Amino acid sequence: MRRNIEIGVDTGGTFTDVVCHEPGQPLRVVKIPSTPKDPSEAVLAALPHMQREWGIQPDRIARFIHGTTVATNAVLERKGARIGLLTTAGFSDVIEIGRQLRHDTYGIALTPETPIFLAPGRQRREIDERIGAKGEVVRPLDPQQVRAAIVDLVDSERIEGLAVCFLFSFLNDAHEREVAAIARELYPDLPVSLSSDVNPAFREYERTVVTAFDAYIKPVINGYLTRLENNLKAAGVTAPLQIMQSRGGVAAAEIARMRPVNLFLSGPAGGVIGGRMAGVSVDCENLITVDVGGTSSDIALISRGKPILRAEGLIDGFPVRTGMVDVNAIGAGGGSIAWIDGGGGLRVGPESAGSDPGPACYGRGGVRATVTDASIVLGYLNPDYFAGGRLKLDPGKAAEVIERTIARPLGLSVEEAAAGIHKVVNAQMSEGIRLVSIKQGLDPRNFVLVPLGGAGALHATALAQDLGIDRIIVPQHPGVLAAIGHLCAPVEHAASVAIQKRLDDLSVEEVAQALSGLDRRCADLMSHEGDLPHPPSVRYTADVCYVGQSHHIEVPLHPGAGCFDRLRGDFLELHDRIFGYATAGALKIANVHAIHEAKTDSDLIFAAARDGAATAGAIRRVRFATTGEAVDTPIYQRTALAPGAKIHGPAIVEQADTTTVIDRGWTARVIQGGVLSIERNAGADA
Amino acid sequence: MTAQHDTPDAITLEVVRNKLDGIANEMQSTLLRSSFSSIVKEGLDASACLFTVRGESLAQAIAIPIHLVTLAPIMKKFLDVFPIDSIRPGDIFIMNDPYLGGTHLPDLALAYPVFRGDEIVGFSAAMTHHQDVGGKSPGSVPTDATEIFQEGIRIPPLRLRDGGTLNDTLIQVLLRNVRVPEIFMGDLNAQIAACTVGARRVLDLCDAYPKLDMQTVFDVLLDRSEEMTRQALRRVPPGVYRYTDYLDNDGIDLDTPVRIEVTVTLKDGEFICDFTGSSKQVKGPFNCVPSGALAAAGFAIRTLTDPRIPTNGGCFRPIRLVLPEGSIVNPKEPAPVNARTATIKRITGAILACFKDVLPEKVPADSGGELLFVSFGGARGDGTRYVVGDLIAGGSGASALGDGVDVIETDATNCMNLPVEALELEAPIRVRQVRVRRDSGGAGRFRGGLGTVREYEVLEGEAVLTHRGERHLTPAKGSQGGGDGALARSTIHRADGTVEVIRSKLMTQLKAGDRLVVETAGGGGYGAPDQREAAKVGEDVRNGKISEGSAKEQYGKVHHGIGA
Repeated sequence: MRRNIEIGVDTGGTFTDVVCHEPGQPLRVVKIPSTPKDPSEAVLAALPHMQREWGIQPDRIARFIHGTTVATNAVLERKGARIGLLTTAGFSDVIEIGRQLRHDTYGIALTPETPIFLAPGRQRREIDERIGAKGEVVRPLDPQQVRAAIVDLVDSERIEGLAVCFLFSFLNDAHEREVAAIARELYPDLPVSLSSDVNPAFREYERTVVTAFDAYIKPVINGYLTRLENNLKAAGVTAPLQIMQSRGGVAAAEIARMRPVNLFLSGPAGGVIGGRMAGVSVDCENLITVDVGGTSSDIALISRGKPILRAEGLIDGFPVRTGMVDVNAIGAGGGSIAWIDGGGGLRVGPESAGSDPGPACYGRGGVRATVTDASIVLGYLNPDYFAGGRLKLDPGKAAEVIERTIARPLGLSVEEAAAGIHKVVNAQMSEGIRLVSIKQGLDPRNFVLVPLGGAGALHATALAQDLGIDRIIVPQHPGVLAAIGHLCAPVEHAASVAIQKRLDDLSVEEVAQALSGLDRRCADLMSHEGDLPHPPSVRYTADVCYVGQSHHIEVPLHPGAGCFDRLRGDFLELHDRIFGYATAGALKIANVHAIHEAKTDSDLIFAAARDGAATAGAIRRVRFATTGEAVDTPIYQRTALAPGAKIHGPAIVEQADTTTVIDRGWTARVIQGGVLSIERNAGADA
Repeated sequence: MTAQHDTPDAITLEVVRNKLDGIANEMQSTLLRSSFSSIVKEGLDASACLFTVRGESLAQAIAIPIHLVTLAPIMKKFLDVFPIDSIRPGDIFIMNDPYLGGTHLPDLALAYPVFRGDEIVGFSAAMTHHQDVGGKSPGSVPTDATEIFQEGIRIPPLRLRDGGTLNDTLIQVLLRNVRVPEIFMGDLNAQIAACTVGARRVLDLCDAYPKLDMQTVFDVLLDRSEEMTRQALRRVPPGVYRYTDYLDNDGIDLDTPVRIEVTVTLKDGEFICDFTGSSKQVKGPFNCVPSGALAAAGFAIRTLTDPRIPTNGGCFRPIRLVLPEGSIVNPKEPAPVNARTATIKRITGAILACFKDVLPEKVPADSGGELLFVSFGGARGDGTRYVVGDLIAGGSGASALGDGVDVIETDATNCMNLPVEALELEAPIRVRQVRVRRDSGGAGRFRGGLGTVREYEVLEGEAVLTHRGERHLTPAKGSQGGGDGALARSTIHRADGTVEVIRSKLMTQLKAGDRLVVETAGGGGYGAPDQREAAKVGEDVRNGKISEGSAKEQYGKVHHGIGA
């Protein structure tokens, strides 16, 4: 028996996607209905399926990698732990005041913008202590007071976790450490999150929030992962459980549970890494992934082979300052509702029919026209083969709802109205994609579009046409790409420390010393990962800004001689790209980071290249939204396409998890590895 | 309109509309990305807009409502001064004069004609708050200005670029009149870049629809937003509504409150704001040129109607303004105007408050409605200099939906405060507390949002303190029986123990050991206090939002300790 099976499992809202990779074998894929009450049930259900359908015993599993929504859901459903928050005296309300910004510019009846629910006033205590702006102790910590505060919080507020955020702890963490020691001595089982551990960087509100989030979800994540690990063991899985983190790297469950705030984008990170892998298989390093879901579309950029990360994201509208893949949601998706406004304009979204009742064609009581209903009317979707036939769509209902709510009021035919809905939603999506790339200083025309999710490939040629993009890559399994991403992601550990010094005042030695401290921390984390196929590679970055500027950018840092010159050069180049200018001026390093990354062996190229002809299985009358023409269109089955096959648009390719629409002027080829590459025909309008 | 063109269909209209919004957003992104000054990059004090040939806005990207519609009077002025057939490809127009349609001097507006062949299809425009445009004090917003000449350089409508050639004479004059020429030029170039991007994309859009008469498309889009706005206004009971509120003073004459009185008449889908009864123009810089009342009315109309109506010039056609000449809302030259933001906030609040009783489900009680500006400029012990500023909000008014929000930006502005750690890294000042201000929210079935308490201590050397407050004298009023919010209050605690109360506006010297304590205003309450659920009163006590005394006095509820 060889222990060489790799399993990737991604929990989604409706389905839990499982992919199984065995070297030399085609990828096996299954979707299991999710179990929201305890998501681990659906994860574990993968094991009997594997044994039964694929004949794979649990003890053959060498890696088991999981993307989870438990962290995010605990926040969305407000089901985290009851926590206490200790702050510097005078500052217990920082978490409540935040940055005083309102989200809805034109709103007048306002609702709170800060995550007060994490620790309302009664769960906060102030501690007499103060560290100054140079890291100096202005007022020493009073251990007696700390002891009393913690005992009081446990006794009167029954807290299950403790968050500590003192001012300037990112420059001097002594007081926070002392609190941790006292808490451990008093209540050895009380989880403690220190801001100097979770996010040692300046700006107290953001640091407090991320620290409180960490404490809030820690018991939930701990419980979930413990249960999952135990049950996997009981089922005979000997491989350690690994978890995808928001940055796009995986970590052993025992490490991931220590810093749960890094798991908010666990699933989406898998999608971005999966998109990157699809690009790698055709040697493309600059990619835009678009995951078209029900209520929204998620857009992410991969530049020079690396997913663009952001240093701070939003969870349920609240700032979470941890590194994460930069996934941008726009409010347009397959469930977006088409409606006519008071001025007689055809509008799409932002309201969505979601999955319940869903589009009218689902036959679950939806009475408003959606983008998916339009896709049925146009003939893009096969009503009998939606989600691999799991859901039969009702074309009559789709046509009826569009006729009644859109076509008749506007004096259009049903097909014209459906094409209109697509044109409008495509305009919204392409403007959304353009803005995401423009904000990074990147021109979308230099990118390859990677549609993901069930509906991405439906819109891809229309979007590419509008954006001036010449090439689209449809991964082999776009519907389970996140699970594939989990398999391909490297094991990654990162650590950071605040510097807050001008470059002129800093020596190369000082930086080297800071980095070696970070290296020790990363190496320690890495040592929990068991056998790694490759030794970890190490890279460093620095958060750099002009002196006087408050927002920094992350720049690669190469320690050693000439270190600062190179850093300055790279900073200027990046600054010019993102902000449109670069001037000589004093620079400051805010933080430095070390990233240790161990590549995994997953090589998902599973079919040898050979010439293959593409034969259409059927012909369907399709009305193309882009050109307005109705054409008898050949329908191809993706599974029947061999590498080398070539398809000229207009055409449609169907597979269990998505439908690809190839417009006139585009040609698709099946590439080695099974990726579908769609390119704009030479001479076709850009 | 030309006959050989296709009539735009509903779908094309909506696609074009989405593109226009996308273009405005891309212009804004370019503007923010390529500007130099932090006031743009972090304060987001800049906006981009597309206009029709007649000067009506087609699409606007704005981060702060105070910029809403404000480019429109400027665009109109450009078109008055430069008749359409005198405009050449490559021209760019510039101005900042508040008395010719502008806002205040730091806001420089640029407009760029979009030529398709020899026909102008529209204009792309950008406005940026420049860090400094000269005048008596750095930053060009002197609190103690008494005439506009002290506030910076005035630029009438001029060609910044003339048929592709930059107006070097003008640029040289400008650069000699501002304190940081390189930042000024950098921000100006960012504005040019934003307009250029906008123009290029408008042309791409026209090229994508060669048979379409874009002017007709634009007209229909504007007409539709107008129609939807009027429909929504007709749903508000017609009538004449009046409200009066006050600014504390003008910063010069500290004893005279400044009256803002507005009468809003709603009839036949018209929205008439008459400011008769408002104070005469004041000596200090709180005068507000007409573009300010227009922005306030624009904000009110967007808030009171359906947020789904596409924002363009059509939404603002129902607005009529009656602005008495020589008053606080329509001052005569050379009155100073730089601090008009406080006035616009009060005007916005007053227009909305007109509807407190007629739309009680929608319009909340008055908000603190202040954005306290505090700045410290001084020298450290070693002689090096620093300047730091903080912007601090009060509480919002309670509404039919629930309690007001503590310490949050409301109405015409939306600015962030400064993190304590950022401030202390910049300047030898220690912040001693940042708290919500207990008992400052107006009592009510729903409680008004609380203000904040912030305390600063000067650690070394000396510092000039600038304090520009509001709501020190007139509270945010409650609604439907709710109580008023607490007044703002600021005090200086000298190292020698003396305490000075600040009368809303002050410039003074602080020495090491002196402390400034600011307490911002609370929002008004909504509904009678005795209707507040006892459990909520208890929760407020436990969470420190109200004191036990206030629970008893204001709500008649005795708090029975933890767990009650």
